[in-house]
Amino acid sequence: MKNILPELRAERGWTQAELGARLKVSRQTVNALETERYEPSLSLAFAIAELFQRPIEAIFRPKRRA
Amino acid sequence: MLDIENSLPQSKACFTSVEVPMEPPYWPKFAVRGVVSSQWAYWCSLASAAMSVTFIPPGSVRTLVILTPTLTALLCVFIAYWLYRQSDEYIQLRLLRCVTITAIVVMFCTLGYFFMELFGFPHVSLLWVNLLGWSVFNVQLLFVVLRAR
Repeated sequence: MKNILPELRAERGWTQAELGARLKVSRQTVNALETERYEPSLSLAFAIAELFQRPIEAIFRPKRRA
Repeated sequence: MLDIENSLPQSKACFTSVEVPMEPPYWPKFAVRGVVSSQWAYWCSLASAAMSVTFIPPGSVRTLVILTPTLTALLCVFIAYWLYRQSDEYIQLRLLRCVTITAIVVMFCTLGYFFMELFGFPHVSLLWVNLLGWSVFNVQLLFVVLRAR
């Protein structure tokens, strides 16, 4: 799953730890999300969408299959 | 100035449930202390139980000392479970991965020693399997806990 979390975070000037604190997850989790090593649960995806005031599909996009 | 120490909820002093950005100094303290002290208590109680067979005459005191590791083992399990419950979803996934890796390591070690026994190696106590499993799990647990800050 691709996402634009690094861009959204950079726009607001937050660190990964700050974003993690706002989402109530660890910095490591934010890092894993940003580097696409981890796909969030629905509840976390909704929390991210709510925090950035954008629909989920605008933040997360499935990788296209070859 | 932001008072981070006082703004933290007391029941969730580590991991992720905080309203303000986390600062490195306090985060893993409780988790690491909990894991290390429970392991230390477990190993000490195991050593006492093993030695009591030799040094304490049969009776209720010896039975009590032999049964003590049950309590400290429960403490270890409780702390591991507490850490799991306090973690966010990604850390929980990593902890489950630790459990899987531990199971695989124990499986291969016990299978390997089974073959070695066939070639004449002495029988060993199941306690070594217990110690191996817990040690492998705890090393990984500490690694995850220390990195999740």
